[in-house]
Amino acid sequence: MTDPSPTAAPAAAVRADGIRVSFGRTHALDGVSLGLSPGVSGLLGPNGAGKTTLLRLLATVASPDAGRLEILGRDPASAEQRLAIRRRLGYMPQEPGFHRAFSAFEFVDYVAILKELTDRRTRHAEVRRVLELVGLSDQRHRRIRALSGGMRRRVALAQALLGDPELLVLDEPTAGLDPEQRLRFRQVISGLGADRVVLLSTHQTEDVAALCRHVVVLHRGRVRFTGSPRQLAGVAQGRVWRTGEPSPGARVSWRTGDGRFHNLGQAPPGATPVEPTLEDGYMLLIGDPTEAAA
Amino acid sequence: MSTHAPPLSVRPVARPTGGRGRPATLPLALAESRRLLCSLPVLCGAIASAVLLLRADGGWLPALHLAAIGTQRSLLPLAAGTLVAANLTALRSRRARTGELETSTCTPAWRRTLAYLLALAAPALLGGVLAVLKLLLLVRGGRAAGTPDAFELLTGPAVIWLAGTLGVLAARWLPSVVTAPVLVVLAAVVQLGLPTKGVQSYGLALRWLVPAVPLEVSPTVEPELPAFLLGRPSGAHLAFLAAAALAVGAAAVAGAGTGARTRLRAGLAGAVALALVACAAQLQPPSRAEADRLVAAFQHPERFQACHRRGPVAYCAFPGYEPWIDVWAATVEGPLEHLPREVARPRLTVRQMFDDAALDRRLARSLGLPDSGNPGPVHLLGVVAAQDPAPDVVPVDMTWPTGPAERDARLALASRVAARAVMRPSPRGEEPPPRCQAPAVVALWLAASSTHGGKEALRQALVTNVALDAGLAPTPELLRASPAELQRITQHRSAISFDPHSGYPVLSWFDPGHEDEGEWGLEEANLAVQLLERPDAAVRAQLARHWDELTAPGTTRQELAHRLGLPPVPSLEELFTRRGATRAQAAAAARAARRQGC
Repeated sequence: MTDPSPTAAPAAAVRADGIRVSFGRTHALDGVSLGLSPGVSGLLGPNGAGKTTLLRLLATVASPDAGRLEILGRDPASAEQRLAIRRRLGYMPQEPGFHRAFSAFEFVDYVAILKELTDRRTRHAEVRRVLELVGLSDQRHRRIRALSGGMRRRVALAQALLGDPELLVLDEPTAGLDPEQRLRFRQVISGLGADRVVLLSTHQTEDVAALCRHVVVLHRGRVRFTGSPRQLAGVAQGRVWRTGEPSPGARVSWRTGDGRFHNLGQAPPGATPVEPTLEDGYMLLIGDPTEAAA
Repeated sequence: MSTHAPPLSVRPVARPTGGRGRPATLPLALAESRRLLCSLPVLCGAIASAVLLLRADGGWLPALHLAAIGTQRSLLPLAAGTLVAANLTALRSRRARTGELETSTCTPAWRRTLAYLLALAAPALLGGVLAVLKLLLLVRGGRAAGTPDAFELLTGPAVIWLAGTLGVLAARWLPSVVTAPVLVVLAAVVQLGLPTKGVQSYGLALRWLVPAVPLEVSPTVEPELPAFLLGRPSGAHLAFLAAAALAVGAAAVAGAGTGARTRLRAGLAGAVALALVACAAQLQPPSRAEADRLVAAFQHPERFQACHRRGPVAYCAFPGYEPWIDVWAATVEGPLEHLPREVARPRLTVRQMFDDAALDRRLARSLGLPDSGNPGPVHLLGVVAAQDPAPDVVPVDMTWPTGPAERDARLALASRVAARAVMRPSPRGEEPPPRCQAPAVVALWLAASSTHGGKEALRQALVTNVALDAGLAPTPELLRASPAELQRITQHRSAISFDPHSGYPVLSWFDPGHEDEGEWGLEEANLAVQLLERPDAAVRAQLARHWDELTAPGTTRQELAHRLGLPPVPSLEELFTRRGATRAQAAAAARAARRQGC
């Protein structure tokens, strides 16, 4: 499917225009333009699509080779404005890294200091709050080296929530979380997304469907889709059907729990279309389902 | 965790400050300082330094201005630990791969580096506290002399800070965990090697390029002088270290990248210039005026001393050494009180003096002469003769041992006092002969019997003495002694040697700077020990009855033995024959010994 016209709402808090980033001959981002308004936005795309590169740009830890970026009304190319952006930013990298000898509290407190939460008492209260938000209050004094992978992701999420970030950039925040934790995460993020920009990159289309008001699909360094989750699901409208046997015309099909086959592609005549999901739309959008599922 | 959890507060308690926020440098420095203090390298270094501080200067009465210098070397393990810990701290984000996360915060790398540098105040402060505690311990002992130089005391903490800045710089420019240990080894080589090898080649001034400059520098040992004569460029050295730390710190901040490059370059240039100026200042040899003052203090210590009279004795100490007067007096009063009532107490002056070897080394530096020159500047300038103290002056040194060696020091001082009370002084300006014959026995008995531990010291001197001369077989104690024990024995104990003129065996005590004062005939010492076996009161009564005779210069040890009922004493000829001399050799040696008054 071709790239629908990118949304560039006038109230966009984040605006990218023709962003290009290359690593050698590889174009990680190739003319990306998009706009993000307050609310939770999801960034979908297969591995290598350029999601992390885009998030790093928005987190001001990398700069584009070409194009213009405006974050919260400021230009990150300027050192002074970049600092102002960082003061209003919460960032959870894909691989945040941890000081493993620190306790969860110490680590989040350390980041809180770097975020200029300089008053010790209020900073500690804030650290306790974000650890409570991610459900780590009881574990806050355990060394990070002793925490499970999922717990570490929650520590990383906690540090991103510190303060009052107007822009929250989360790179695969739910990876490694169990269902309960993911529900908790949705609860937190949905609350935050009411009046600020939250951009989360994920492979979990359920999270996007459950949380996001806006979805961006990146594929091979280009924006393939921007719109609402309903619009993304709509991409598959009339192209999803169910059969008792594998349908030869389907681009991909799989047996579902009720024993019937879920088919995506060009529906054969006579097939009864079913209501498509966001995942259906996403998989049809990026063309190669195996790549999307990787 | 429950999916039915109560509503969560997503509102922040604290908000990062706005565009004009308070930088996180100081709070981060505080947090890092706590981590540094709890880090393994710093803890190990602090423990090692504490042990060294506790062990330093053991065996001597403390002089605080010298002890302050000693703290510098003791704090080197803490400095090494700080270097490693600071390096690990600055490398932490690299090792833990948190660089991206930290970069996304509003505290840039150069501010984080600055915080690491400021956090070094904690281990530096810890070093300062350890050093001050050491001095307070010495003061608490009640016999500490001198006043510590604040610059010397601050040098140890400055070295710790400098080491830490090197660790941070290495993390910025050579980011590897092996860099810090390599730096520690290099620093140890410079610290330990430059003063020895470098000094031998380029002179003593070169040692001021090392961070902690000890008093003891191979091949020389700097004299233990009063603070006002030490002449160490402690202020310039501290400025050198501080400026070096600033320069290294500025380079580390520059390595982290900063927008204020112009200011940073200016700061770096200023710190380097200050370091160079301070370095040049500290490498200057002592001035001629300092040398003149040193010679004056050597020849005429009375010009620099205040005296305190106690009965017939005046005690004169260099400024700061007044607490030692009680120590000297406790020994000096003994022989005088043990004199028979009828005998007039001599009016003595116990004067603190430093030896010509000490003067030699300091003068050599002042005049640019080789330190190991022979004869040294003191002899070249002929200032020794001018120092020759008056007969009523009892010299005491700039040091006073404690522990087992203090017994010998007390006996040495008591014997000098007793000699002045009992014996005629030898002519000034001449090398005094060994103290022999009956008056020497009386004086030795007086000294040993009136001094705490004196009897044991004299007995042990004869039993387990140090054979400095090849003619005497090493004692079992020496054969068993480890090298360290041997050094302690030879430095703190007595020695038996031979009078170079006659071959008459003489006994001397460790008595730095006053070797000529301490030589006593060995046979006389044997007689004194025999007297010490008897009750003091009985001997004192006998001596009182025959005082004039026994203290007369012409009374021989044989006559004394006869008068006091001691076993007969062999003649000199018999003595030398027993030692393996032929009859002719023994006769010649006996004649020579008699010429010496023995």
